[in-house]
Amino acid sequence: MNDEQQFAYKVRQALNRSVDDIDRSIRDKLYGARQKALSHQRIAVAGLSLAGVGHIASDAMMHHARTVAALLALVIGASGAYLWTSYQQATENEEIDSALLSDDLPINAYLDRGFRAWLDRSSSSQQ
Amino acid sequence: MHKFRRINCNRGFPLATRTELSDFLASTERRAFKQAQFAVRNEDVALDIVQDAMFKLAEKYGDKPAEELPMLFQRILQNTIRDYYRRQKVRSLWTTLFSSFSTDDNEDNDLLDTLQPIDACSANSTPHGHLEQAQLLAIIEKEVELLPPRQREAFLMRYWEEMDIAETAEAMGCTEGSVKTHCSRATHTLAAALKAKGIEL
Repeated sequence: MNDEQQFAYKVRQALNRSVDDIDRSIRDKLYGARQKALSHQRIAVAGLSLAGVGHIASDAMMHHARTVAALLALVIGASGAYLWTSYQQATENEEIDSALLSDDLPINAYLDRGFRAWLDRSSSSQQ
Repeated sequence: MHKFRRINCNRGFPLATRTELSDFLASTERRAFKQAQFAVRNEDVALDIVQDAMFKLAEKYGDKPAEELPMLFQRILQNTIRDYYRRQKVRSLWTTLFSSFSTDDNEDNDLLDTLQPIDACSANSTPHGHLEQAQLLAIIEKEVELLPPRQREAFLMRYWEEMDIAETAEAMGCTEGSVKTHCSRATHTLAAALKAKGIEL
């Protein structure tokens, strides 16, 4: 392992020397490429909005705004559907409750198994 | 510039500022160019690849912490090289398809034409120390170029870019174990190849 590292270190030195020998024209091109890349740096976009270049920042924000709007619509839709179904269920329950309460029979009668059996029997015998 | 720094501090991460990214790219661009050149063996293509990789790094990861930049840049660089290989494969498929229809007009190529530059080179070779040095460098570069791609990637990232095993594994998208294997194989191959040419480092 130590040998490997020593060998690698020497190769590294050789490669570093070869990097120093790179042509001037290539160095210039690399410099140009770097400047071009830096002008598109992500953080620079956020920073430029402070300096007043509004449209780049608004583009970036628009991108986020779309996601946020979609999420918001989803949440509103889901909670709306939930509220609507629970409201419907409440009105149904209301009808049953009022029917039960206004009935002559006490509520416990409906829970009585014998009463239900008698109801079934009498309704079938009527038919 | 102070404004950028303040934004970064507010988020609680040491994010790369424009100067940090610039410094990083400046320190790595020549090695990146060499790496690309080893891989594609063409100056212009290598330049394009480095430019692409820099652009992607700045555009997509320009807001990442500075210490993550080397790993991210290497990953982008290697992916860009691989994309080039892929495109090249498709292109060479088409060219071989078409070349089978076209006639070969390279028959009047003189062998001496290709030999002459080499003669000229050897005529110029005076036994100066720095020329020997340059030849040694050229041989080492050539051997690095001849390494299998994955071995070369691992070797250069570990020992030239001085990334640790975990970073190299992340950049290459493989396990730490295979990084070690690639590295040691590359070292052995290089050492053996140089030894065969009578060079011992």
